[in-house]
Amino acid sequence: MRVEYVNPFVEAAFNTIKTVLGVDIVRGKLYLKDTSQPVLGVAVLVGLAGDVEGRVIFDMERETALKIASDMNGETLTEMDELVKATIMELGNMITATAVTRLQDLGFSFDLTPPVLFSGEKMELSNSGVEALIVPVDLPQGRLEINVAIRERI
Amino acid sequence: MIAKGDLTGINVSRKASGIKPTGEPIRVLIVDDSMFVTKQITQILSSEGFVVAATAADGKEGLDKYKELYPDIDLVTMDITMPNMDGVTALEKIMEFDKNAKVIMVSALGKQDLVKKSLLLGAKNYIVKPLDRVKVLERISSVLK
Amino acid sequence: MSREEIELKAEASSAAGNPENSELKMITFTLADKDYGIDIMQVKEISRMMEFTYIPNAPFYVRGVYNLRGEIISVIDLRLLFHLPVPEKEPAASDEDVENLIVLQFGDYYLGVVVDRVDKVCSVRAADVQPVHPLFSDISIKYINGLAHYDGRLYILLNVGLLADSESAGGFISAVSSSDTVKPVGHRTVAAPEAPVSDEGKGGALPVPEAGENDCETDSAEIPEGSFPESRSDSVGESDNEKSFAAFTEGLETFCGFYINDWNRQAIRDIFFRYIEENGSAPVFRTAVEYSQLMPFLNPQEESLWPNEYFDAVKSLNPDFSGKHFNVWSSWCGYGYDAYSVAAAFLSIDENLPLRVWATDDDLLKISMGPNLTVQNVDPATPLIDYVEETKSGFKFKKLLAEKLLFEYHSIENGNPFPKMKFIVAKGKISYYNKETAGKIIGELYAKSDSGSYIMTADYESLPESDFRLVYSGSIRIFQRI
Repeated sequence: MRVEYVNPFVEAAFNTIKTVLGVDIVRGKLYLKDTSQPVLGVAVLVGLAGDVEGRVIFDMERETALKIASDMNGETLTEMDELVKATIMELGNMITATAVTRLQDLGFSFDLTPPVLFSGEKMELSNSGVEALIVPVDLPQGRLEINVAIRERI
Repeated sequence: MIAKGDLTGINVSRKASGIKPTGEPIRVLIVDDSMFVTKQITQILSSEGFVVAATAADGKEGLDKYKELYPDIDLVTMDITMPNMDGVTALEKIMEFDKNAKVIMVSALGKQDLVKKSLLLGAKNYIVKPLDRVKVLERISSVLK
Repeated sequence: MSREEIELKAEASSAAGNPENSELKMITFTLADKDYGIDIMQVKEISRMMEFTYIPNAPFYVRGVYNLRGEIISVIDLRLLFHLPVPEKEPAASDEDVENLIVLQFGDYYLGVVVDRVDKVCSVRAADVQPVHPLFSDISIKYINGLAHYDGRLYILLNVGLLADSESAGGFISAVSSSDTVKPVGHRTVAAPEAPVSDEGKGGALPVPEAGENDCETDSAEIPEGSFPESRSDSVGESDNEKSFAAFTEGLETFCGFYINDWNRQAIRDIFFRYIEENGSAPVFRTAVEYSQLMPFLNPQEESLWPNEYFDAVKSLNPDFSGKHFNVWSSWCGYGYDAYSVAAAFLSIDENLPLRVWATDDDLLKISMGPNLTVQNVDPATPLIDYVEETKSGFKFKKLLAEKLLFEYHSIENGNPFPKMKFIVAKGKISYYNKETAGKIIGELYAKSDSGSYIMTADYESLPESDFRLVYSGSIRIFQRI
């Protein structure tokens, strides 16, 4: 993944989360991964198009999703209902959109597709051969893993 | 910087802005495929006395609801990226139907081109997500003036 | 959980937060009278080990397994691993056979390490941890995270993560936890113990035989069959030399983190046997310094722009510029010195070349500098001088050159979507990966080249003659795929 893309995604994640949730975030070490990996329980996928092709996945445990959605809605939510799903998708959408805007400012042509949410136990994300940047974000609500894979259209 | 409470806050000391000089509430149609965003906008507007006359989850439904409610509708908030019919197309059709329609676009960052296009097509203003309570009310009242 | 441990963890977690000013808490201890430290976040507890169970055929530094309140953990001796002296125990002492044990936690499994003496807990600013010079330490640099100053003393901060790697004890850990009488302590379990095998160059698990089956057929210095292209085991003397060579390369791995692979084997053998010819006996080295005196390329070199020799070498190739694009890959590009150099080399031959240079590295800190690299000096005798402009902070590369480069944060161990490359810079890095990974990387470089493609290597690296022809040899080498 082009180095120019790394910071916009990291900054977008941190700024958006801070704005929306009003919490302090502990930033984990960034790393690369290309193997299939277990999905923690709830995953939002936002597709990227334009000069590039790729996707961003926001992965978290069910409990974390419920806590984040509760805080974003200002009420206690205990079931993975439509509101929780919509809220988590919107968070993924906002973060990706913020990153894409920053990248557009830098002169890269990016567009994003509407978010999709997956939830369930024992899921696995399998796209071996696709290298992803992992941005671990530690929140009071739990851990959020942002998995960004982008490749140039050649 | 806004705290999470600002998004859903209830206590505002200013005079409620959702009431017309006639004393009737302003009626709003919210078109958004995200239940979360619909809920947020509903909360912000209800707290100011607006009435959410209807909500729609895509552009097609939004257009149908507008026609159904017309002329008893004062304002539309329109998401841009939606299934079935996107917000820009729905805006265009609403403007064809009612050239005085007051439509505000709601957009995530990263859609500047579509926002510009919407403004050219007759949208009165736009709001960028994440939604900030103060900004939402500001933009809406500027459209209603 | 001991009380001491709970306090340690509580202190440690309070230090988390702002990474810039973050404090690093370390447990300090001594090995052969030198001070070492381990990040407390990786320490489960400190213990004293009374009895442990010996495991036959384990690597020399493995002391055995230990029952820690019902959890069976494997125990390695850091002094043995680092080839440091182990103090004699006084038989009369009351704490006879008691060893100081630091229990490390890697995810959900544990590893015990024996040290001379556990000292204290202290915190240093993470920013004050400095990189270590390879000549400084008695132990292999790959086990060192950095040097920390505290209270006028220097502590060597150990990279304990490496102990959990397959290179060290990880494989062993998995084998230990496989016995059905032992509760598995991690996901790295294997189903059943198998026959003993040599661990030479193996990345995977090292199975342990059942107790009693130990017939000592495993010798860590033994050479796996078919490992070398030409057999020298005809006479007894040469067979001894092969054993010495195996020991020599094992030391090379341990002290220098340098692994024998298909690209470097011939050169290392030549150096080894030349040494025997000149000195009458095989080299027995115990430090990285000794190795690097014999093999200067082991000394870490600062990244730099290419000298004129490389540019001339590339020019002498008369490369075929036909085709829609001329794709070049600068693997392990670091800050990007190689990438800018190779781009200048080709553009100076043909300024209209449709050149694209992929510059990749898995060091995010370094490669982030790539797109805006500034250098203090440019040799005016090299073609690079035409592609730089002077600024207040130093020389920057002109857009004309910089726009040909694409810097990607990428690990060569992972796959990539790059097209076939006409020229690949891949010098002097493969040897620092274990055999398995090196094989994968060589395969990757092979997959990205085509007939006629060039690969630039270090002067001690050779590509297989069956597929490549050596077209330049100097302080670097260039091979062309047949």
